[in-house]
Amino acid sequence: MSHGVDDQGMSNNVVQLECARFEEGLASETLDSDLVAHRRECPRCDDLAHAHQNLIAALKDATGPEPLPEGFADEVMARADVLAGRILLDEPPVAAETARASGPGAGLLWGGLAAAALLCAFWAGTHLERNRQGPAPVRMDAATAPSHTAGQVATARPAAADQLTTPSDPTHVVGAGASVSMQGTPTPQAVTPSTRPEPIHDVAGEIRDLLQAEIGRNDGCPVHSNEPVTVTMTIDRTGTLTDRQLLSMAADRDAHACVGYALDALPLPPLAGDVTVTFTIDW
Amino acid sequence: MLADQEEPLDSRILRLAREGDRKEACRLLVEAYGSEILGTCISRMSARAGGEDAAQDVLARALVALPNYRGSGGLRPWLHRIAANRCIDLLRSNRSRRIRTVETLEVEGVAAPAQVMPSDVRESIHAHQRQVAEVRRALSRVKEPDRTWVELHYTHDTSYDEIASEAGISRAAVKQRIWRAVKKVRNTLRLWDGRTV
Repeated sequence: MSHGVDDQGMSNNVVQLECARFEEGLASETLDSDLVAHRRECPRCDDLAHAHQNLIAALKDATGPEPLPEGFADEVMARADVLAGRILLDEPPVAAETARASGPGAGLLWGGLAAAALLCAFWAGTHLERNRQGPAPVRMDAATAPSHTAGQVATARPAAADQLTTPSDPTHVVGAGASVSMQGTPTPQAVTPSTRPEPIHDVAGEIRDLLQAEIGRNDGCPVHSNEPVTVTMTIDRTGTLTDRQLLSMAADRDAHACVGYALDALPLPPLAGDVTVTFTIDW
Repeated sequence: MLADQEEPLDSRILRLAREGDRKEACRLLVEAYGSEILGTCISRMSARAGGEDAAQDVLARALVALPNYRGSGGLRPWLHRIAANRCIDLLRSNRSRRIRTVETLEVEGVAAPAQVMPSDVRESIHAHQRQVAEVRRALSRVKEPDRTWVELHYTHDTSYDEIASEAGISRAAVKQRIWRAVKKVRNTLRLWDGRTV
């Protein structure tokens, strides 16, 4: 009698083992003939297989392709154009130019750029050192300065004008009746206007503008923030916000929350790599 | 022309994007993957309008990023990954704005039929819609990227090898995680209404 019970117990164990093998086969989609035969004899595995088939059918139904509405592709193209425009602005022109260069000339281009950068750095260093050790600055009014010099200075970009001033005389307003503070012996050289537009690297500024616009559209946000909010965020190459930190004064919780909402709603473009920016925002 | 026809679709889309022919790349991308990306976005956003918006966003981002694409597992897994990330972002945004619509089991356009239909047909449609909505809700409880892999494998017939290649993990690990995710969906559905789908 007890022998029969043992047989039954062993039989149950074998069946359970077969059921486990069946489930494993179902998972890996490798049901051999033995397992198919087992299914015919085992109601539990038959139910499991049915349930699995039904579930897969339901999954396909719930996540399957949907017919595209009219104008779908045009809308995708329009959005891509907007995104691409923004990405081009973010891309440093030199990198873009280099990327376009191909073949044996690319190496020469890099070499030339590196040499030019070294020369510029050397010239700037020498110039600054000479300014530091040189005589007192000579103040020259635009009205009395030689016309060609005034013209040259007037055509200089602000960054170049900054290099020509010293901390001791920060006044450098160019215009009618204005004066330009110059020092040192070198005559200011005319800066040739660039044939290319200035590169725009201000990703943070662009995001801040978008955030301010988003906050402006949100009726729940205060009209003005009392305190600035500091934002640190990382955007990955798929345009996903992977990390963000907001810092603000405790007295201005509304502004803090509004910046958070605006960040969530912000459409971000995919970038060449992960980019982390920090900026403050107020409105 | 013959060469174009013989060239695999993904390669052709990539080539066009890298050559700067974005319009043609867009046409092919939408033709090849638009419907399925729209399907997954509607499923994730639980609304057709939100899904369309998300899908257009996903494909536009993909189109812009195509010239820099360096993946090895084909465009499909990559596109679905972008879709998953974008939908998560949009859902999070909706939640934070507290304008999330009340969950409903009705599907747009069918809740108010234009003409009277037999009650058994109507009931059948509603039952189907309920099931679709329940499955979507159950799927939403599966973490990423497992959910995306479930959809890729079962809905879009993407092989374990292809998914593993894109994800950079072993085939066995992908298989195990997909099976675990399916079991979770099944158990969730059982828990909700005490029946097997």
